[in-house]
Amino acid sequence: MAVVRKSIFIFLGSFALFLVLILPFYFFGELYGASEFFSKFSFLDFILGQEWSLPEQKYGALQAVYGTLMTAGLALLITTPISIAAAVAMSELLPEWLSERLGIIVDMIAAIPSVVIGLWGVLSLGPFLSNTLYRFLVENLGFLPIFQAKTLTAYNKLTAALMLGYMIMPFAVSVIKENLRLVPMEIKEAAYALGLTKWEVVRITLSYIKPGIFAALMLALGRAVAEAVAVSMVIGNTCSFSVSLLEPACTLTTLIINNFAEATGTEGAALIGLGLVLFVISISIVLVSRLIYNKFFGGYMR
Amino acid sequence: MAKPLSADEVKGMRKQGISKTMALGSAIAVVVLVTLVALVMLGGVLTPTPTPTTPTPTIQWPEKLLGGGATFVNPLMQKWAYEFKQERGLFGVDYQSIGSGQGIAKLKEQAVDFAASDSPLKGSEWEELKNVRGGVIQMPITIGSVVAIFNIPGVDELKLSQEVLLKIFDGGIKKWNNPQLVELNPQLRNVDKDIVVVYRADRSGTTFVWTDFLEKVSGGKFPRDLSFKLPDEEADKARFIGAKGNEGVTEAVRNTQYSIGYVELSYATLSGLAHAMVQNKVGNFVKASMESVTEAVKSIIEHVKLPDPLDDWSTISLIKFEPSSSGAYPIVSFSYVMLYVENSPEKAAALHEFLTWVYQKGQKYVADVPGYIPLPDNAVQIGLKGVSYIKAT
Repeated sequence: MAVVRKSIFIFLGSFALFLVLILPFYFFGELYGASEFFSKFSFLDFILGQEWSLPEQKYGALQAVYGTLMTAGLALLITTPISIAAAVAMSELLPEWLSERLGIIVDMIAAIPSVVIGLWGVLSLGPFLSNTLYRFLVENLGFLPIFQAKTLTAYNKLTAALMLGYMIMPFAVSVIKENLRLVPMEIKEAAYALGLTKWEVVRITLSYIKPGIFAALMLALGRAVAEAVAVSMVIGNTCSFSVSLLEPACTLTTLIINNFAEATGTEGAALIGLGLVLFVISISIVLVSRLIYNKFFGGYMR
Repeated sequence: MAKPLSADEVKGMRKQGISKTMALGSAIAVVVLVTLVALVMLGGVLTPTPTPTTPTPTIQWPEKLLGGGATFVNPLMQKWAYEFKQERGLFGVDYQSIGSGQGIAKLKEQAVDFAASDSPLKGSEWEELKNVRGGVIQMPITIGSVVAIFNIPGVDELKLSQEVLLKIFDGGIKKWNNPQLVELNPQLRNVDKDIVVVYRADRSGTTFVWTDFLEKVSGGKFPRDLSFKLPDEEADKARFIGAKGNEGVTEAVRNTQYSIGYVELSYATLSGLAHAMVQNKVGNFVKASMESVTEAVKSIIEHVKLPDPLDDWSTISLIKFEPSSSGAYPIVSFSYVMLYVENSPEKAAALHEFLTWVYQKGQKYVADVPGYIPLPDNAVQIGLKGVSYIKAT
């Protein structure tokens, strides 16, 4: 038996090793693609370029970076309260049988392919929102620059952000839920013993898992930045710096998937450049979040 | 009664209990997997190779022809491949709809037997391939036509002069009740709404045809490209929505009131959305249809000398030749099939067989595929001439 166990262990271990060994291949691939990019562009000019227009051979990534950060940031803003509330409700407030079933449903949302969510966004969510929420926002809050729009359409940053928020929610919820489960029972018992209300106890447990919540949200943000298919279907794909959330934009990933199939030469290199910019953004999200984590949450990663 | 367990035994079970069952389970799983794999492999070996029952024909057919390229011709190609196999049963045709650009790339790599593209080879590409395997044959395989679909509540007819159409799509005309539009369409007088323009966000042959037309009307100012050029003003850009694929554009126009977009004729027909009449060279406002598109192509071939299939087609644009017939729809284009002159004997025979069939018998199946239009006779002649250049080496 020991031999079998050992061989299974080695078998599984080799998979982990495989993952590590693939990394250099990935880097070489990236470098190979990037070499073509660097031979044609200067990275700084590219990333600070104001305009992206293939027909005019203008390759500037800044609008796409803006679109990416706007939609992902907004999605995070939307998903943060919802996922914290959902996690707390599921692990602290609701009866076990209900929260268990809810948990399954939330996990199922995570399993929906993004193209399906995109179709849902295009076919039902978008048209519904543009006739209700967006109309309301433009008519009543139209004095705010972020809600100004000449035309009401389903294709804008807000639709993309709402859809993204929905897509990344399950990841945040399940990580926060796990963290809540890890809060020592003694703390809650002590709090109740002191006569605190349920609400106050929840606040204490939440402050206890702050680092966990932060980590969960960063994980979700990483996913939001990288999402391509679903976003490209609802964001309107018109690159611009418009402030209004109800106007179209483009993101790094949508430019890549929209154009890569038919891009050659310089265009292809520019798209690889966009991938590089995305890579830099993702890496900096990881690094910055680690930095913040170490600075504010006591310097340990659970 | 079971004998009570000794302390050692209990300890041993505690230590091994779970891992033992798990190890057993995994071991069984591995054994099952290995057996399955072995069975599959053995199956491959043991299956008897079919003995040829028919006497070997004089021509050796390849197993299949491999084609790839434009998505636009894909439904047609699949239909042809199916009917050809049904009718002749000689060999299969495997067409992969990977996009025009990829199709041409695969042709250059010699990874396909033929490619299909919405635009001809660029001059430089043609030059580059001129001396490879005897050069490339390019010939029209079907006709594409791009139309402007629109969604204005209560309006189902729209007349657009070429100038107005350009101004809508370059951002110059911003509202539906613009005087230039109202002059042609009095029913728009009270539609005080911004125009939402839906364009293709992905690089596509449809955009190429559409911008070819806009380039012609603008006198070269609007760039012809696989991507659509957006207006420069930020305020105008907000009215422009990019959607993916013909389906995406159709859906966006359907969902967005006061919008206009461009799609292949077949998508307009299938979606049930109204499409605009466009003024042609004679001055008539014509709606795209099987008749008006066929008439346009026919009239162009009659009046213009098209190049030989072995020549450079890069400057050929049906739009710029402007059909002069009175009932012709002006925004039409060829889709091309491209192949090398020199092929291996069996591939040459197969290409010859299949393409001849496509140009002759195949044309009658075109009407079965909704939205596609058979080639007029004079275009078929170009195709057959192209086929005659195929050489076996």
